[in-house]
Amino acid sequence: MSADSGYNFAYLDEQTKRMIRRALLKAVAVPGYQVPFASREMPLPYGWGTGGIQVTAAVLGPEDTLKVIDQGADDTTNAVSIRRFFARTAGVATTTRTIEASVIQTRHRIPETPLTEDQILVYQVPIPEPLRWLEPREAETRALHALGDYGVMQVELYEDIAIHGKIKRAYDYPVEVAGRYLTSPSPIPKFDNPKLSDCPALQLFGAGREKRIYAIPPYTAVRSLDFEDHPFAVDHPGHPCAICGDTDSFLDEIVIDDAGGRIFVCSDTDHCRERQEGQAHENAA
Amino acid sequence: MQPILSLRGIHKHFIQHLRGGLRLDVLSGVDLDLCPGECVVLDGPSGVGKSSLIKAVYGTYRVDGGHIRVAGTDIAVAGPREIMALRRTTIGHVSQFLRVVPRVAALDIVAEPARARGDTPEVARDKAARLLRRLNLPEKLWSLPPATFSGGEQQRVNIARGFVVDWPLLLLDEPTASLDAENAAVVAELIDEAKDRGTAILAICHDGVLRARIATRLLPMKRVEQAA
Amino acid sequence: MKMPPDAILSARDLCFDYGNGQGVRRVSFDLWPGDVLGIVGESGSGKTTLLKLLGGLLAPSGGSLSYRETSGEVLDLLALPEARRRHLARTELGFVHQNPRDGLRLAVTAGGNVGERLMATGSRHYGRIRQSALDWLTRVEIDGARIDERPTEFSGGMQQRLQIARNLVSGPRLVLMDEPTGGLDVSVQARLLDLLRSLVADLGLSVVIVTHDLGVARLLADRLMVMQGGRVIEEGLTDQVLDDPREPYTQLLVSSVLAA
Repeated sequence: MSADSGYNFAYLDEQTKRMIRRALLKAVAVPGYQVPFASREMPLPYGWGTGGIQVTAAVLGPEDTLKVIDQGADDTTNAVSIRRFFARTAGVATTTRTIEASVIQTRHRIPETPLTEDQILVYQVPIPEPLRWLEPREAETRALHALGDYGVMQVELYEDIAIHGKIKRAYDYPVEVAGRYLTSPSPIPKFDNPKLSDCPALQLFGAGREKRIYAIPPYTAVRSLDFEDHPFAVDHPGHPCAICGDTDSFLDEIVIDDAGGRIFVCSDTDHCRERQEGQAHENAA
Repeated sequence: MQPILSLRGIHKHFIQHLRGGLRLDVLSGVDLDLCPGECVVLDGPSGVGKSSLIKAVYGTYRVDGGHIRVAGTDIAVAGPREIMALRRTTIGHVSQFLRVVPRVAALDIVAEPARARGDTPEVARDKAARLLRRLNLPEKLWSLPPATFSGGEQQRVNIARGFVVDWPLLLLDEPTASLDAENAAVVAELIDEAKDRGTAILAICHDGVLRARIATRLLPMKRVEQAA
Repeated sequence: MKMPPDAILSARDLCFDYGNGQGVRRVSFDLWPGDVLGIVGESGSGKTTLLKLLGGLLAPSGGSLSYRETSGEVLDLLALPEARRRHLARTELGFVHQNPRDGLRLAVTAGGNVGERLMATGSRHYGRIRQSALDWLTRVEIDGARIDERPTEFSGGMQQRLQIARNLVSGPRLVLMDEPTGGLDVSVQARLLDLLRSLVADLGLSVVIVTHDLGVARLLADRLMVMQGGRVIEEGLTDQVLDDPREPYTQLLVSSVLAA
């Protein structure tokens, strides 16, 4: 698909992209640290991925192949719109296949297919500050980050165990990046947290409304907070995907009728399709 | 013998600012040497400054002249910490009234000075119990805070607290004022025993019988001429 | 600055100006281990401001403040890097606010409130944190069964005791208290006072306690400083100041107390 004329490549002007790239370089240099940037007005509302789009625009080149997922799915409104946006403004190739993509913009999931060194994962982030709900003052959260003073987050986890018997937080589970900064992984399910650590791909996070960019460089240690006697653990629903039968992937619950009937299917649509194709291939053979 | 307490030329006056700066002279030129084993009773009618002198020696009243030497420290010029140290180790004080502490049992109030001097809680309570028993305080009261005790019961707690430690110097302000004859006799025994152990005692005692029994000598005091 | 060799805290000429003539003017004192110093005076005399200067909640406009650590090292509290200051504030120091709501996390359970200092200083074992919290709740006479309740469900007296536990859990050496019994009923006050008195004695704490209640001062403090107009106008042993007040203002203060 060729780019619409009248737009600069990937919509943003070159000065803006350079500004964002400078922020990205700093973010990569200080893993997990939230770098302020001059977030632009984008042709879609806050909350629809304005941060992620700006980061994607800044890293995208003409040769890139872009994949966009929303909660793991390639075919939701948000994912389709953003994919079309870049197809029109940058003329880049798009794909729904994880292995084919060089840049993947995501909302709230990490693909099940392991990422590679040739890929960049761009997260849309609503609230970049992991301490925001515990400490409303920005000046104070900055001080807490500067001093590595994260006891208050541990108190939050303590509260979960005290009240619910375990750490209940199922998404946006706080992590410590490279042994230093407490970081919000954006609202990915905690199921995906282990994939953050030691990942070969570059992970970039953009928060448009909050005007923050942060990064997890390739092969960086990312630790999910926990207690010695209540170690971090991933929950799994315990049943297979109703379509592809996978027992290891993250599942969405889908209501299928008005009688309360429901099934569980893979949240990662590309992963599910690949497994179905593989099974069809085996059956045909 | 070396005196444990030595007073030289003690002067004390109050300036009552709320009464237009009225000056009230209460002590003037008091001298005294008190040796271990002695019991000096301050002698004189009400208003001659007997209680003031006791309070000056204890450090509660800051004097305006003279020296109060106790165990090498001059209380007249000593700082708060030096006075606190003397109160912990050297000077015992039985005042007329018990200053009650809410919720603390009588037994623990009595034991407290012994604990402050380093006794274990058990040893201190043991000493306290022995004294309270001698002073005929019913055992069922020992675990109660003395706030609700009668005047005589409170005074016995106060006395026990004063005698739980072998103070080198003991100040007694009307120790038997609200006691019956039987308990007053016990106090007299306690004072005799303390003197035998070498405690020097400075006392106020209006009860003639008791005074005759405990006093080694009297220190006559008279009203200070008020400065104009 | 010269600090007496055995003092734990030394203030020299501390000043703070709110810009309206009120504040703290050249206050100096030394505090020793196990020493309980009361600061009395009427509202606006600068006593709470002084306490905030000592606790690092306000930065003085002049003067010096030295603290001797357990190791014997003397720290210039006013020049301490922020990280060190915060660490000190949650390990060796305690600050008990008049209103427990200022010193507690109201959305966090009693156990979480008490455990926060432990977690902030690196404790990562839930079971041990909880056991410490339970021990401290018991010490301040809060039923351990209420460990998972929020302070908002507690009475004022319980909240204040919880705040004290939250401060003492880290084994501080110096505790600053601002009218700790201020907002409480008299009967609740008595219980809290007794608790404070015994904790201070058992733990050998050094304490600076601000109060306008001379009865509280009499019960808890070894020494008193009387403040008026931002200055210390009289100081001495508690019984010296209360039984033999010299300054006109102190005499007024003492004579204004209703005898019970």
